Amino acid sequence: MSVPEKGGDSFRKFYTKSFSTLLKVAYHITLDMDAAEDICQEAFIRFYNRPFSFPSEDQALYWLIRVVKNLSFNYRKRKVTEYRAMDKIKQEPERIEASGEDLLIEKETVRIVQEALEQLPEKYRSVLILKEYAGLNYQEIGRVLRISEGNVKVRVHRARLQLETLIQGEDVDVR
Amino acid sequence: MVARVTTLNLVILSMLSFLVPGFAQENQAPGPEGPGELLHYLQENALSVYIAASVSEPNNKNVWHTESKKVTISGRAVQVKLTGENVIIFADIIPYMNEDRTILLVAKGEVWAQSEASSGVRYYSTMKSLPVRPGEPVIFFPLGRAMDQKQNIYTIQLEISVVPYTP
Amino acid sequence: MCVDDQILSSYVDGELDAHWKEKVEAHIAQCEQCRLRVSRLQKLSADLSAAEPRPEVIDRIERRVAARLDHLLLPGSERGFWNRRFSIPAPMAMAALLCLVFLSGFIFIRGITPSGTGEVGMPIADEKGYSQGLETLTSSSASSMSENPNVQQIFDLLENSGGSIEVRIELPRKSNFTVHGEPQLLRAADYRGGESR
Repeated sequence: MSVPEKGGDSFRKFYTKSFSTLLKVAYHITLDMDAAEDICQEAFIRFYNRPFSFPSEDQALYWLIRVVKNLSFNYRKRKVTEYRAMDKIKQEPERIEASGEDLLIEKETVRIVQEALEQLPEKYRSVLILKEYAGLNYQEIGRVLRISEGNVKVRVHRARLQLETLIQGEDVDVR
Repeated sequence: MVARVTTLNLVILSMLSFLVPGFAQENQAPGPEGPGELLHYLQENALSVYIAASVSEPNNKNVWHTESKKVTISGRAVQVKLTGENVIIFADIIPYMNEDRTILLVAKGEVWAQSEASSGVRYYSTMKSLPVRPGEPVIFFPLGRAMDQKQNIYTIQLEISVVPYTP
Repeated sequence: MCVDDQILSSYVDGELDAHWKEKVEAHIAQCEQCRLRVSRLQKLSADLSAAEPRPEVIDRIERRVAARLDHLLLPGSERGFWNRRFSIPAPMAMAALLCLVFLSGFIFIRGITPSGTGEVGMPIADEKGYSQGLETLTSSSASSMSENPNVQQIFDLLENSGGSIEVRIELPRKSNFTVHGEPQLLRAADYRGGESR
């Protein structure tokens, strides 16, 4: 790291700065707060063990986000496989309930949008999660996912269009 | 979950790591100061990495081949990006030169592969290492090797060798 | 004529440069359809980001993970996780450390009978049996030395290219590549010797 501070302070600061972003990304992909917690812990352990430094703090953060994203999607896929194997669902995976406590601040419209988000394919879900929960701009998202900024722009837009299609579908059923 | 297994492994690691001089402390090797030292440092630490990528059919017949040579320093990756129609591979080749001039070669692979079954993309990552002598060739198979002779399976391999850099 | 929906999407994200931003704003001042569209996109974005975990929950988890990290890594050392310097040791020491990382990984793997989940030591295997090791870096992994601009300049000279050391290869188009086994790193001598099998 080119961060010139001494001792553990800079690392602790970095941890504190980045933790909530990472947890949110993990949670919104896995929809399981316990899994999200494990994944964030795993990401920092890997961060600790990897043998290289980063040219900047931003790069370190992008790396961590990428690790969290991949671990989260892998977790999610494993869960889906388990559910399908147990023949619990026929098509799309059901929402995996978080642990009992009321973790989110939600309204009805928010819930509908969340459920639609879960149904998006991975590549569209990733960009929206990074945009809306990690608060990254297009350039930063491009760096995390290793795609061009133009590509990010297109994906975000298409993700939103798909979300709208899904939401409209839901509204029709509800009524 | 993974945590328990990882914990024990890390305990072993941390116990072993105290044997490494300099890890528990935070000092770094003195860097080059001034152009003379810089040149000397480079001469001592620069490495040429030779990479030959090839694709072979199941009967090991080589159908495609390309070569590249890059210069790096110990600890700095040469990143190989292989792009295909349904697969993207990032292979980071990182040579570490030890004090006794032997080399530890680390190959990190990330693969994004379109699976035929679903329309999704699978992601795999791996990290492999091998101690090598200067000039000794090694082969990295980022997608693995098909052990039985199926039709239409192409194997990608990267042949890598590292030598100290000479201008 | 109305504005392209993708441009409106970028506008809502604040990703348009000043020039385009002005144009869009001038347009939506007069065009109700586009104004409604922008407001719809903004609502979508707001509904998404509204579903945040409670800050107390995040804090609690953050502290819990911090405590666990401190306990897991460098146990018994008064330094703990947090006092680790946020940079790496010099390459020589790191090479030695890496050997130990892999040594300890191998020691551990031999000592364990893989459980049903297939998770053993390091690297960690997923259900398909492919090993998942550590992540790679995007940009060039830099030793502390290459932060020195002089080294970088000399590098660029040697490489005739700026930035990270990259080899870009396009794979042949006709072939369908799939993952068909555990990635391997072998000595060429061993590989060629064993081919007769």
